Amino acid sequence: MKIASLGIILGMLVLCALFAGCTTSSTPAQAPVTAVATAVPSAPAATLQPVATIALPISTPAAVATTSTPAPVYTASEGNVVAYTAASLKGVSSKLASDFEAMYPGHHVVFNLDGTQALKTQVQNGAYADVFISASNAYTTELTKGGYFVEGTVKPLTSNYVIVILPANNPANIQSLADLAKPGVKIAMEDKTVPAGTATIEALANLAKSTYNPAWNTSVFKNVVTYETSEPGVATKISLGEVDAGFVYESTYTAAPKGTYTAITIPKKDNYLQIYTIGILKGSTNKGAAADFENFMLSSVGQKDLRDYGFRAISTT
Amino acid sequence: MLTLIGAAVLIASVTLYLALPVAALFVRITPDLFFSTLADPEVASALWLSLFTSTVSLAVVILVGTPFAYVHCRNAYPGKVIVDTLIDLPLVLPPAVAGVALLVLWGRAGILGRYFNILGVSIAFTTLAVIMAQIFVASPFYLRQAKSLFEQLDPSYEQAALTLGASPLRTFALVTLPLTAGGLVSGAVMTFGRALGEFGATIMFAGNLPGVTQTMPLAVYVGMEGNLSVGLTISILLVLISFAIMIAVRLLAQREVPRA
Amino acid sequence: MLDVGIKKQLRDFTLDIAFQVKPGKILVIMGANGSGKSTTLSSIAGLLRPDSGYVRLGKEVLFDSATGMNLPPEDRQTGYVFQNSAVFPHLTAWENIAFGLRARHETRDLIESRVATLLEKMDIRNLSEVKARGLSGGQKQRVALARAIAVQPKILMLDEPFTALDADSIRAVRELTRAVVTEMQIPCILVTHRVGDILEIGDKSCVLSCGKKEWEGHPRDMPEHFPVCQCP
Repeated sequence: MKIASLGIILGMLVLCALFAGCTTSSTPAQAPVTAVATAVPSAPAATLQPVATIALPISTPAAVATTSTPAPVYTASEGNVVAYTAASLKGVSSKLASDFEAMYPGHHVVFNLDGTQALKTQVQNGAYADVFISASNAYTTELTKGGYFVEGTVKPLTSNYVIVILPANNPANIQSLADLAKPGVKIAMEDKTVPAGTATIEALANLAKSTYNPAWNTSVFKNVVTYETSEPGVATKISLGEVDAGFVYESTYTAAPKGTYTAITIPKKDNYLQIYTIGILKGSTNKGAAADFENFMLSSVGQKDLRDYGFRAISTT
Repeated sequence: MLTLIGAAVLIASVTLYLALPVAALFVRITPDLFFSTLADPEVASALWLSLFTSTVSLAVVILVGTPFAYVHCRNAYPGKVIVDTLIDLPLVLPPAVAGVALLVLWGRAGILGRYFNILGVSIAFTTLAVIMAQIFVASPFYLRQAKSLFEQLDPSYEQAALTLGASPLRTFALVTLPLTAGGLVSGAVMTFGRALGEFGATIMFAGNLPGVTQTMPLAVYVGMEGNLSVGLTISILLVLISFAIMIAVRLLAQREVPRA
Repeated sequence: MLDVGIKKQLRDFTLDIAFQVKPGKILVIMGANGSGKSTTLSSIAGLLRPDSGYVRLGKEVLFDSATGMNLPPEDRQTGYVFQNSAVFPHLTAWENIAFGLRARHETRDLIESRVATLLEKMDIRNLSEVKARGLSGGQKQRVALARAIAVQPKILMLDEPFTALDADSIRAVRELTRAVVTEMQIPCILVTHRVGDILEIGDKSCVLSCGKKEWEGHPRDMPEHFPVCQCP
């Protein structure tokens, strides 16, 4: 008797799990139910259509707030935002989280920080997120084409250049970009699937064309000892002193305490400007809070946070 | 009748939970794509590197671990309990933590590694680092098995050999080893499997460089983010190898150790 | 002559025993389970180290706590037949018997002739190619005895050799033991809990109880009952 009931319960649990998996992760085919009337204040920055969440558990529609001095109207029930975010925002993420909560009391953001390529794969395989911050135009385009974003919500967020960092004591005595090709130098780079990796490859190609020669490019790649799977991974290897040089984003260098790294800049004309985008995912069941978060990120507060941590505003190049 | 249904549901649900994800791998890729991806140099180099490093790691674990386990079992020495616990440590330590620890110790800025660096010897980011990481995480599988076998073996066999005039070394080689071989091999096979699947410590300590440190698990991880067919192909390879390992263990573990 | 006097602290009591065995004679040690019989044998073989005392064979000192002398078991040339025979399961009967001879690097001819002789004597010639794990208890014991005497030991010790043996095997083991001991003129100790064995084979017998020698003498003089010390 006991075995039978246990077996039945377990069987039902398994069936429930299977069904749950089927419904929630399905691609965004439901039409978003448009709102009940709420105030839609216009603002110089992008406005968002008020989007109510799909019927089931949440009943009240979310309100929208924008502008640099917002007056949010919100509902307490849907406060959490899951933000899939490019790893290079790791350093600034806690500041963003606290400023977001200050601007929208009752709202919380949870960052899932990883290489954009990893996050993209997860979303494509059904992972749940409200907001997606991508470090790569190519991946943003891929997700847009796949219909993952809510129309009109994909905006440029910020930008970043590539820079070379060395351990503070510069063990290999690298004085210029030319020295990166010296035999025996150990370099860490991101894997080509990581946005920072693609940016680095392009920047190096540009440098080879304009200043150095293809042989220099080949030698630099010969010196690579590891292709990391995220941008902070390279920074870690540098701070541990395990490699002589690494390619990271400028923001990583700027935001680090003085004296952590030595840096060598790559000239703007050869550099690759990485454009970050932010967008709301169709699969979000929390679109109101997601919109609030996107507004915050694009607001002067969010943008200032990013600049403080070394990111560049979008307008400048 | 109800008991029967309940039991069937129980067995079916557990089996499906384990089997379906594995089956899904095979369904997601076509045989054509699988075989053509096998020819990809990235796949080939990851396969070769994995097999090579895992074999070397296993060899080291067996050659050093067997006499270690034997001496450890047959003698009481101060600190034996601590050593016993340390042997199990890599089993509970998260692999990434193991990787960080190895890096902090053996990296060129590391506590010991800096001296090797002065001598011009690089440890981190080399194939050697891959092997060291594998040995660290996989050795408990063999050591625990060897310890258990030696402890269970009826001591009168070794005692008889000694009284007949065989030296302790001869006794170990001609009596102890043959009688524990079956179990030792199954421990070795599990160790090989663990070494083959090692990821966290490898990527932290050895890095990710195709042909040098990019083992199959690393290639799966990177592949799944960029080149799906590479990721799936290597995953399937690993599943096939794992099945072979499991079958080998089942066949070998059937031989019982002569108990006390 | 085997001269033994040892003390060893065991879990529940102290083993404190002394005796002598003349060459060519068999001492039967009797006692309840756990009374220290096997410990005594192991100490003589060198597998255990007594806390204090001595083990001497003629002029040769195998163990002496006063001088710190403790010869390792592989150098003592003691023949030891274990309670569970301890024949190597993965080797054939032939290989088992040859084991000690091979360990001493004897010549091939000598090994072959001696093993053949012993197989004949123990009446197990037809089993020589059989792996020991496939033998019956009696057959294993015969192999164990042949194995022990193949190396011509200076002492022969048997620990409960007759338990679970069929009558034929008992007779074979007993007769061969007696023959070997007389022929090689070596001291022999046989441990048993069966009274009948004492009368059949012993030249001298003693009774162990909780590590102490309760009685020693000629088998036929053995009293009917002994105060049994309840070893916990």
